[in-house]
Amino acid sequence: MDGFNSAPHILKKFDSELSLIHDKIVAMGHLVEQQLSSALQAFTTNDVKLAIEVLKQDDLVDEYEAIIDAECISVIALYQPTGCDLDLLVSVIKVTNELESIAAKAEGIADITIRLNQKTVDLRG
Amino acid sequence: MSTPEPRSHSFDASSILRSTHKHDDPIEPCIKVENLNLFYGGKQALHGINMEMSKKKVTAFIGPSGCGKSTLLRCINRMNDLVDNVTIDGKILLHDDNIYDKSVNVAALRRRVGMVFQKPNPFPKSIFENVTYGLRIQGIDDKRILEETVETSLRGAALWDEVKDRLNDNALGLSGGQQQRLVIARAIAIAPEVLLLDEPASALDPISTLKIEELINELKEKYTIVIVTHNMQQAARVSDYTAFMYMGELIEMGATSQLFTKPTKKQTEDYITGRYG
Amino acid sequence: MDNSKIAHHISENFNKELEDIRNKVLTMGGCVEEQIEQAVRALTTGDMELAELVIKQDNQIDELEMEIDAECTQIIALRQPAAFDLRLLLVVLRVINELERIGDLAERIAKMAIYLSNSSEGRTDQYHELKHMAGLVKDMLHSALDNFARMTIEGITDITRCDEQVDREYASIIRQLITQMMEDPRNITRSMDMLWTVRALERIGDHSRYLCEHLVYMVNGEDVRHLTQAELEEKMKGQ
Repeated sequence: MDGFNSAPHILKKFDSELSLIHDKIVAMGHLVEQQLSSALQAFTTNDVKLAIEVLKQDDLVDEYEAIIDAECISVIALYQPTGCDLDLLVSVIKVTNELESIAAKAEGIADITIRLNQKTVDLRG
Repeated sequence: MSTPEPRSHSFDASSILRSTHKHDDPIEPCIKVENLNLFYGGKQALHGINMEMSKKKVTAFIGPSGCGKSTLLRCINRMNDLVDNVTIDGKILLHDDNIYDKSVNVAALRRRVGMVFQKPNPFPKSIFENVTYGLRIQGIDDKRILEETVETSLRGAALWDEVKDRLNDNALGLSGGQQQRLVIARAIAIAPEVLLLDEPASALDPISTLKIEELINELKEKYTIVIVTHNMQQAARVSDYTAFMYMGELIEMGATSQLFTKPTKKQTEDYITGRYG
Repeated sequence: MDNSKIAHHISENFNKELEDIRNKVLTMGGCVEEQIEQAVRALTTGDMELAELVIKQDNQIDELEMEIDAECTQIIALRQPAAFDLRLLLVVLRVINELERIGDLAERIAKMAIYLSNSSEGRTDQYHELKHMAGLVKDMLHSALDNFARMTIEGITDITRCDEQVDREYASIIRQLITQMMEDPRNITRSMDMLWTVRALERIGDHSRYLCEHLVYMVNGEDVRHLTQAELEEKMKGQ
């Protein structure tokens, strides 16, 4: 299975739909990666400002998940892919879910960073 | 210690999110159907149809056999005029002109609104003569114009590369899929605005069908396309808008992606999911 | 069981396939509910055999997930469903993913049951609160599965509202645990194990809420993930 790089389909519109989804999932992955590394940096350097930036990305990540999922579902409904094309689209829906969970963890780290820096060591919060 | 600035975004995540291949150009209505009723003798076949078809988009009519989808399609170039005993009221506007107006020249209308049928129907003549047929009846016989038209039309119908070395061969020697693309070339040779396709791929094998579908995608760059198909999946693959008809009525019309994932009417849902109504 | 949502396809086989998938999901859901029930009981009663059993049974849930997953993809490929049918199958993929994660959390609770029974000073005074919290998340999961069985979203916001209660109880137990750790450092190991346990319960509440969100998508095609409770209630008002 070649995933997104499989040979072109006769119906070019289908390929162009797949390539749009490809670009979006790559961008979402990149965004979440950035979010996680910023969150870790914010945590280790007590950078509250950076932590807030991480939290601000939340909506964008959620939107990526919603839009990619909707596009995959619409492509499944309209083009009725089978075989590796279908596996690919179903996997993309699972991947967006995993990426969103990773983003939520990064936001958790950012949240903790903010709390640690706002309160002097009163862990009872 | 100075805090490092957040790393600059090397890519614009929000613009990628919005990217779409669908041209978001404003939707411009090309054909408007207003309150259209059609009777075969005393039997009403179309009931108060109202809809708009957008310019340079593909609109598909779907629905079970006898729902009126082909009848409606044939109204758009007044093909039903040829059927005895048919009465029509209501309007169909091509841009702003009512095509059922008494002053309308039907032959001129059919030059603006071309039609392709289910069964490929090339004339028993050469490929060249098939494509130039429409021009010749208009009295055009300048060889240079004819040759140019043949090449652009055959290219437009994605057939040029397959037939360019045998333009003088009889068209009936082509395969079914090639014949259908030839008929499309013949239709676009007279530069229509609208192409009506009545089950254009239902007599073809799967690969030829996909080629026709891909061709429809290319043709909508230039033409407004209306297609009738009993193959729901074909409608899903090729159209921008889909109209679902049932018993002579328009039940629901909307963007194809919405209609196939989230229809609003139960009858539509039942039909596209293959349920008893 | 009400079959009106999945029956009535012209293809009888398709009806059967959808019903079979639904029943398998409900079986998997039942297993997961039982895993939570047993894990919590193992912890509060110190029943090690039961805890071991829960850990062993997690495999079955994973297997069910893979089986349903493969079946779902196959139906999509062969039946080429649209509209509700397609949403149903995609939601099944999401639902079994949530259930699998809940299963993992139940397994974690069972592991904590073993650690906690090993720590010598068994303070059981927090078990009452823990049991109450477990009761809440089990109810959430059960009601969500019940809606899935009937393919409805009745009272869905009542279920998701319950998650707020779960979060409050979670925060309250965490505060107590931190206090205990500060009072006497010898409590730390045990308190940390308790903390992981209530954290797992809190996560089960979250996943149950996600289940509800998936059901809304299945029934009316709307993506309601990441909404606050108030936003969700607003959205569901008109339905």
